[in-house]
Amino acid sequence: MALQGNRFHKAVGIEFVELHEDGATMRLEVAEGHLNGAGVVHGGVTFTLADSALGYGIYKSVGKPCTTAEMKINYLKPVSSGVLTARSYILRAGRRLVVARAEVYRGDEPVAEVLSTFAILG
Amino acid sequence: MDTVKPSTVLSGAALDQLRRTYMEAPFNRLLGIEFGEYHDDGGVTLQLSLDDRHQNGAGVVHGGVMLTLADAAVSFGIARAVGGRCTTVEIKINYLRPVSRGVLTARSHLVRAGRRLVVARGEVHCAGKQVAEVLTTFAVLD
Repeated sequence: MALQGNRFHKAVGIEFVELHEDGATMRLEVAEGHLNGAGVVHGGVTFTLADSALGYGIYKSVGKPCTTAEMKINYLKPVSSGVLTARSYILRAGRRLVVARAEVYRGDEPVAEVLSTFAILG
Repeated sequence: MDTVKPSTVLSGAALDQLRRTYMEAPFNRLLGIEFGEYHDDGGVTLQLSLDDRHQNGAGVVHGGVMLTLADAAVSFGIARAVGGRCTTVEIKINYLRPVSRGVLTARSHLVRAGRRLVVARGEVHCAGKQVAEVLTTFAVLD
C-alpha cells in the first residue's frame, strides 16, 4: 500500500499532498495523456485520483492493508486542464469495513463526489 | 432491446469513426485498452492485457484500471446504440475478486435508453471469472 510502490498511481501521475486526521489529499496535474476522446479528463482518471486519496487515508488511519469493495462517483463538471485535488473523509471505520467519501476539486470548483466502502484485510 | 430504436444504432463508417475515437483516446491508449467485439444486443466488449503498470501497492490490479476499462466499454456501447455523444454522470463499481495477471474484458449491457439519460451495466471478467460489476448513468449530449 506504500505510495511509492503503487505503479498505477505513478503511471497516472498522482502525487501525495497531505495526511489529515480523517483522510488524505492527493493531486494530479492534468496532461494530454489523461484525456478521453472528447478532449476532457477521462472519468477513470478522476476516479483513480479519488480512490488513491481514499485508500491512502484509510490505510494510514486503520494501520492495516485495505481494499476497495465498492465505489460510486458522480461527475459534476468536465475539465481538460489544470490541477485536480482529491480530499478523502472517513465517515465510519468499523472492524471489517470503512465507509468514506471524497471530493475532487479544481481550485474552488467541485469536479466529482465519491462515496466508497473499503474492506480491511487481515 | 426494446428501449433502443434500431434506426439510431450506428453502423458502417459512423461506427468505425466512433471506434477510433475510443481506441485513440489518450487515457485509453495509456492503459492499453483494445477493441474486443460488438454484440447483437448493442453491447460492446473491450479488453486489456495486464502488466506491472496496472498494479497497486498490493501487487493486484488497481481498481481504477477496471473502472476505466468498464467505463470505456459502457460508454462506447451507449454511443453506438443511441448514435450520439454521451458523458458519464455517475458510475458505481463493486469489486468482486482481486486479479493481477491475464486479460481483462469488459462487456456493456444497456438497461434503458431514454431521451436524456441512459442506464447501463458493465461486467469485467478475467480468466472466466467476473471480477467487477458496474452500474452507470450517462447523459445524452446531442
